[in-house]
Amino acid sequence: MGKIPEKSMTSLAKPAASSVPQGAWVALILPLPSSPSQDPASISDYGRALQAMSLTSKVMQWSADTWLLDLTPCLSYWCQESLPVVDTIRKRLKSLFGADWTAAWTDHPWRSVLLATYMKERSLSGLTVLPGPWGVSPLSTASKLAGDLSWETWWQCWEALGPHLEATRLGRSLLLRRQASLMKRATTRLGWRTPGQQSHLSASSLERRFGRPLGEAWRWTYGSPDIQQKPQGSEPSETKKHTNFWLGSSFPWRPYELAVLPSISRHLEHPLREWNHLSPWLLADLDRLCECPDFLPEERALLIEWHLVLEDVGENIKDKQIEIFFRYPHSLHQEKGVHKTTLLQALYAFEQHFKRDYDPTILPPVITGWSLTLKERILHPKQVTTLFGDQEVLAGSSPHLTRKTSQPLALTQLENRLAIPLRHFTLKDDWVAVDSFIETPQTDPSELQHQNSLLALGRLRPLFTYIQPFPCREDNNCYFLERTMTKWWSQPSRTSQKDFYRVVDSKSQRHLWATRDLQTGQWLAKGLFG
Amino acid sequence: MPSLTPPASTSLTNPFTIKAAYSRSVSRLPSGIPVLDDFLQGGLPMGALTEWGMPLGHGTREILMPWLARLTQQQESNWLLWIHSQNNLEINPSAWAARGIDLEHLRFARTSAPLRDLKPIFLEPLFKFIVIDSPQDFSDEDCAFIARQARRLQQTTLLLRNNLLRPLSSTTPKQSSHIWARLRLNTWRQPHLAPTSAMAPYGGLWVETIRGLPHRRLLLPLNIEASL
Repeated sequence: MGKIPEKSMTSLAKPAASSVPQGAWVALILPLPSSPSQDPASISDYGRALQAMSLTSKVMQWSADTWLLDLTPCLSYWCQESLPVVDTIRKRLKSLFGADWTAAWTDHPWRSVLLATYMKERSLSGLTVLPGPWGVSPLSTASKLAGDLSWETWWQCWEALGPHLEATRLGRSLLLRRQASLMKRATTRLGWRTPGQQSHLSASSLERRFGRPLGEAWRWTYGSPDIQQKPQGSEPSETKKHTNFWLGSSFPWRPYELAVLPSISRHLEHPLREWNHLSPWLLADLDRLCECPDFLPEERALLIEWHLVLEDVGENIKDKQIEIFFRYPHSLHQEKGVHKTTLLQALYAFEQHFKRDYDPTILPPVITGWSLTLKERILHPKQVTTLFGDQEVLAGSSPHLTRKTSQPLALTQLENRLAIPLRHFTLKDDWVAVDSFIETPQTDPSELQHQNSLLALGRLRPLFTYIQPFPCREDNNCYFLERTMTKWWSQPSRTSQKDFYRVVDSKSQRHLWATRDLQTGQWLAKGLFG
Repeated sequence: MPSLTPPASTSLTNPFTIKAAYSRSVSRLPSGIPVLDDFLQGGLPMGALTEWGMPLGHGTREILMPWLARLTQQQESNWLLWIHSQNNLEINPSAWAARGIDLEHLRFARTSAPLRDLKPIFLEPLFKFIVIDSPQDFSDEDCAFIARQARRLQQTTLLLRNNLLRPLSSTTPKQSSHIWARLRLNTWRQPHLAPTSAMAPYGGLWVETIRGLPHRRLLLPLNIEASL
């Protein structure tokens, strides 16, 4: 075995929280209508939903005055503006809602609601952005605010959460009230003055005492975001990722649905089965969809629902729903007459659907008709009309986005045509290999910080890491590479050090990046030198 | 566009030199390592398919890092794509960045069937340098298509094989990409010889030309800390 040379150990300093939130959730508090002079169209729920949908297709009404916006699917679109994305969103909110609004941007919807309520209570307006989980770093602003959060604010947000839990069958109102009452009594009895004082309490212990909904709310407040807790099993489809898959089933997300969506339908004269036969009809229908009066040329599509009517050999009629999904907001009008991008995505979804649902040895059913519905899109602010139908043109709301150097429009358009996503990595400050980057095309890389001193660590590391590390045997061909520290504050372990070696497997002659448990002596292969 | 090495002037009167002259007239993409560029007569052929046998897990892919670093660091925005097919492996971006690669202009994709899942990439001239790493599902037709598109769109495409390539001969079974790849190479690791050797502890990398250039070998000392 190789000897350990005298090398300096990697810094023990805790990492600074990233300046960009991993999720993109904005809670927006708007003033309730107070004077009759205010324009009723722009202050109605529907009007406000339309305004919010010019920022993202995913909007939820949290309470009478609070709206939740999931910016994640549209962030890449706003990243194309010349400004930093946060400034772009701030500018758009100002254009849409004037000066009197309070908004909070964090990595979790619940934390956004808490923070926006906290800001509103202190009469603070504008957009506040807080990265990362609360309380990660004792010096962070997020942690300070989390410490200042009062029980009154927390319970106020809890009251608004109740109806959503009930609507999504995650809790019953009577039980929720009883559990909340128990916890309120306990906090008074135990002298807990603020939630922040007890941020070290585990969500599971609260869940045991006061029920699952309160435990979950506590986890959302102080725990790791559920977005990062990938579920076990196979990787979810991109469509599911865009429909808040990472939030799990616990957060009661209820999207605001517009009453009227652009839609067209077709009844085929002759049933069809082959893609080559049905694609010309689909192309014509996409053109018809563009002609819908409520679908403006400036709008961008994210999801088209393709509802197929199928007839099997027994002449039974069945319905099938296929989702035509766009990785980035896509302009259907710009591809009018061709619809290359949409047809490719439709083909991928069509092939996947028929491959998954039908045995290849049996003739699949024929298609007798379909309907196309534009389910999700970024609305153009022109949709916001006054009571008399006049269209408002918002200042600084040009639909023509300027090019961003890091992700040109050509690449975005190309990615929209692929069956699988292209992966883009951005480095962040962390010495642990698997934590030293984020994979997202939607982050503004200029806002991530990375130090060259940490970059040097990568020189001795392999090009590939194993998704599932496996035990391996130490052989004579073993060279020490580096000694690092574990994250002792977040992952309690017996030792706080890890040694990494280059191990040459005696059978395959492969060069493995392996670590050795200092106590048990067991070897674990974590990477492979390319 | 990357800097080009001017083609050597060659007399075309002798028919036997036409093929060699044609080979040399192709624009080359240098790695920036003089000894390697000299060995490859300027670098990798641009607008062509190169097939490179390099078993995975032996550190042989290190030899490609100078090309990637050079292309991503140039002022012109060259977009690069690395397609890999190993389901149990994940990219370790910090290691790629530490080898001088600007991740901003590099994209990755994981698929065992690149043409099925990424065909529009090969129809657009956006990506100038594409590496297809050990594809599992890659037919003769796929090779022909990739080579044709590389020529048409001036893409430099590398097809990495997870095994060493064999020279074409009547006794060996025909390999699909023999006729489509302009340059065929092999790379394997030379284990260290002795602890006192200059190549200890990492040894070196052998590069062997199979097709497209005269058959010969080059041993590059491998120093991981200096990238090559």
